[in-house]
Amino acid sequence: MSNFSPYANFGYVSLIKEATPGTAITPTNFLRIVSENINTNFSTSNVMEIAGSRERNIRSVPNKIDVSGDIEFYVESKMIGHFLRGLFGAPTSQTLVASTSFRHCFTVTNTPQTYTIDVKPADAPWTHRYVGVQIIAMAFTQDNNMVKCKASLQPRKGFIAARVTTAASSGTDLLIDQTTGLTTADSILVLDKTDGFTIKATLTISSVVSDTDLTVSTIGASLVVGDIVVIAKSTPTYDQDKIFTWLGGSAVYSGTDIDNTTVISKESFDLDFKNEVEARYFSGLEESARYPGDVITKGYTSTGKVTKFYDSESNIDTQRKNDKFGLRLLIQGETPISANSAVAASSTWGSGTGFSVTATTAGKAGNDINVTVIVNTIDTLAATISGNNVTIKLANATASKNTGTLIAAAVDALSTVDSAAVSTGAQQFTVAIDNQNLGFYAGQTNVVGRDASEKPYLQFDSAAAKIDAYFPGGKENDILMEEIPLTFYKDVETAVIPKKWSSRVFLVNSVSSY
Amino acid sequence: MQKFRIVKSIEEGIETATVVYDEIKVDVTTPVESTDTPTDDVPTEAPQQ
Repeated sequence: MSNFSPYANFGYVSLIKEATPGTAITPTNFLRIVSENINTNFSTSNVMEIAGSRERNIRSVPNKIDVSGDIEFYVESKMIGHFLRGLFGAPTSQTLVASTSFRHCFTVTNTPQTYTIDVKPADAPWTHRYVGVQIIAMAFTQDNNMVKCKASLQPRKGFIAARVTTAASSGTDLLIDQTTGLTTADSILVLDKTDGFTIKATLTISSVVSDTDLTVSTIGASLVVGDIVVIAKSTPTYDQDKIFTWLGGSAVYSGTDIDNTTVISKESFDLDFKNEVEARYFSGLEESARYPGDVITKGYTSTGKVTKFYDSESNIDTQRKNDKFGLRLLIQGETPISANSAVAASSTWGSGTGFSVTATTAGKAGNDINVTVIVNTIDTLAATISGNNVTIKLANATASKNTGTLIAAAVDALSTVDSAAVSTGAQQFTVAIDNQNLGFYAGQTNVVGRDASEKPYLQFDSAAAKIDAYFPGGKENDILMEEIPLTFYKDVETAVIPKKWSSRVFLVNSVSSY
Repeated sequence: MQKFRIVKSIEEGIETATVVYDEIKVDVTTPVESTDTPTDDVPTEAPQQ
């Protein structure tokens, strides 16, 4: 008879973002998972020495503790935001409908965020905790028509268990050999050291005094040195959306640039985002010093793969010339977030007396319209549009030719977009302004374009995809396939409108912030 | 007060709208299909030359 059921499905995973990297917070967001294999490696060093014996395994010392592993889960619109935040960094969040609908944009930042993650093994009454967890990789694919993600984790610390170091049977002072990872919101279980299961006491933590000292609720049992302290389990409650699907729920787009794409047919996809990290260990007297003292974030890369049978020479040609192209994967949920009307994307330029640009047609597609301001080679103000790309060419000598009013008049004359002066429209523009998408110009008044009764979506944009070496090969009675490997580069090679990013992820859902 | 006009042209799929003034007529492109549209005459201050 087992002490508790070892059936994996009784387990759970919960997580929460940390305010201070590496400082635990009791997780409250529960995630349904497919699998997890987070391994805590309590490594040891064998002491190799000459000691008058042919035996070599005589003594050992504890060495560093490294923790890493993966969590696999099906992707839905709510919890995925935490993992994207962990990998990319804090998103830019925009309110679409107050208290109802939000858009979060994740781009590569230099400050990936950390999480505290609890993993309850099977039906154990306790959880294992990982602190300062960085999401170091996310691999998206589809499995049985469900969009699936494997997130690779690099925790900084862990609280698997601790030992009582001083016997106690009363009072509120409990001395143990590690408190790192515990919070005052936790309950702890003290397990009998003789079987590692019998619960001798359930205590709440009122204060984490030091790395070896807790103030707890009144100790009413006889705790002896060596008894095992673990974190008591919680009761999971799930706030998750429906799982994103591939067939009937996703579309792939490609084009000369990311704002001018058309839908293409693919049979499957893989997207991989990766932060290289390096765990570093620091000296320290405490038990927790065996864990990494810091995890340094290094380079970011993203790759992918799209697959379809061979029916064109176009992809081989693109690979042959190392051409870049925009690639988008749009994954859309089933149920509208709200019953909204379609909304036209727009943004303003200037400091309150400039101009605005608005998509003529309401809808999410308007978010692809982008505006670049450059200085003309002559003293004439002009505006151009090519596809979704608007370019404003400022008169190069006479500032008064470049007022918000005049720019608006020029832009408004173009098809696909409308433009108007903001307030007096008196502001004179004289310097180039980087490419900006409508609805997403930092520091300006933005309206995000939305479809009517918009559904939650996850949109992966790659500004400069390139095809890595591949070639379709066939065998008897088979269909010739193109499994096209992709590397996603930072878009800096475009002459006039470089996006200056490689990966951008838009997440629209009902979660206000991450 | 001076009036400006918008001159539109389309060349190789690129649509251009140029602001021109009656007194200072400067065209920016050589339109293939030019439509000199005297639309939206909006009074504005004369630019300093």
